[in-house]
Amino acid sequence: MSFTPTPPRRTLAVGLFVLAGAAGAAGIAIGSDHQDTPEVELNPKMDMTDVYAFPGSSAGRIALVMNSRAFLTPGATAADASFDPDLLYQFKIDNDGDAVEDRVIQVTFSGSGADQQVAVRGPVDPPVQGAMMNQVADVSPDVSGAINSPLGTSTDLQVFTGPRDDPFFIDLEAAFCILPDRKPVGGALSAPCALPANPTAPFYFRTPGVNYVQGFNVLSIVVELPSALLENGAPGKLGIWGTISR
Amino acid sequence: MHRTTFAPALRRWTLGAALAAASLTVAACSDDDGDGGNGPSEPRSFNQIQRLGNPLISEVLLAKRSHPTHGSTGPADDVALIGAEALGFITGPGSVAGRSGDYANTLGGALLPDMLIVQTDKDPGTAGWLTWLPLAPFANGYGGRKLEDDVVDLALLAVFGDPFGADPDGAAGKEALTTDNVASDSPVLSAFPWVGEPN
Repeated sequence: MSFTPTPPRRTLAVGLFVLAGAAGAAGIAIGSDHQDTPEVELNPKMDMTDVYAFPGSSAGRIALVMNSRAFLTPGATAADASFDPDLLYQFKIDNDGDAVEDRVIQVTFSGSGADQQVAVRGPVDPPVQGAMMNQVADVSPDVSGAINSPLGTSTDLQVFTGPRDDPFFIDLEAAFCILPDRKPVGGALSAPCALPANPTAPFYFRTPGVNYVQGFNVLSIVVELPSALLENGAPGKLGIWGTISR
Repeated sequence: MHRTTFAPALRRWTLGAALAAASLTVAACSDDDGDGGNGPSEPRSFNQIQRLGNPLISEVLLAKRSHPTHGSTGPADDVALIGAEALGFITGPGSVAGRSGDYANTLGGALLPDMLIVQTDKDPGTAGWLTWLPLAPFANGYGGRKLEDDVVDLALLAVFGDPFGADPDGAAGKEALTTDNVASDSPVLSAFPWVGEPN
């Protein structure tokens, strides 16, 4: 990647930034990405919460996870616990250090509820690079089938999509008390802080903390594949991010 | 006064290019090559509304008003579009973190462009958020992000602590901010599909 850090003094010489002045930053939501804009609050299936990347089931394999639909309750209806068929979910991978995707894994859905079907294409060269005007690759899906069941093979592309436990954890209530300007617009977390006054204003966390995410689900897209399919000819550095587009 | 400079390698990612990309609007755009239906049944284009690489960037370093900008652009534009604001959270008059400019440089270099960095040529046993960093206490390892990683504490440590031993004065007095005192309790699986069963 372009800003690979070196030991601090050399990093400074490279200079990613020069000091900025006051930014007027008045708040913080120390979380991942749950309900991060009013738009996704109103359209929760657009709300990507977390992306993960870690070694897969055997040597040379990598697992990628994209979670969405923050704070999905266990009692949610099948319609609510399924993906939006009008959205395009993508894992994007930069393998040459320019922070532009060289490979994409595209995930789309059809139907709704428990009978929903998933189609996964990739990794493929992106039909369109960048954030706008993306297109689904004009190829047959590499893996397709019903949500809520493992698809594909453990030696190639393996896919699972459906509701899962949200693995993220945070004392979100305390975080919003500390710096409240990034609270969601609606819901329980939008209320004024109900915790005791800060003993060391303006910052503190309570002890023990309370995992606000515990008990909630998310909609997971899990893919596992040989990492060679993402690399630029040999093992090395990858930059990975997830996107949701409409 | 704000002043931001960028490494030469990214100068080509200019604000003009970013604005040009951001100005595009939803429009029909055919990709149908008439091959009988291998691709989508209806030609369509999609515009990005959400993006996530590192679990820290948008929610911690950017004001909520800037989240849509981050969500609708790519990492190649991060330095131009969100670099100054992210830096302003960490350092400078009125910043939340109150760190030195040198420390902000180090942290910015680790987090922007906003991508999860994975080094597939490294030992998978070293996987974890930011373990790819060649800065102690990290180990130039595999990197990525595991399901059970305590990214909140790592983020708090990075913003308010001194994990690199580079800014002890800036971290002084902020020790209580380096953990939210919550640990992973998710039933993560030891095999595919990894993410725990739904509640």
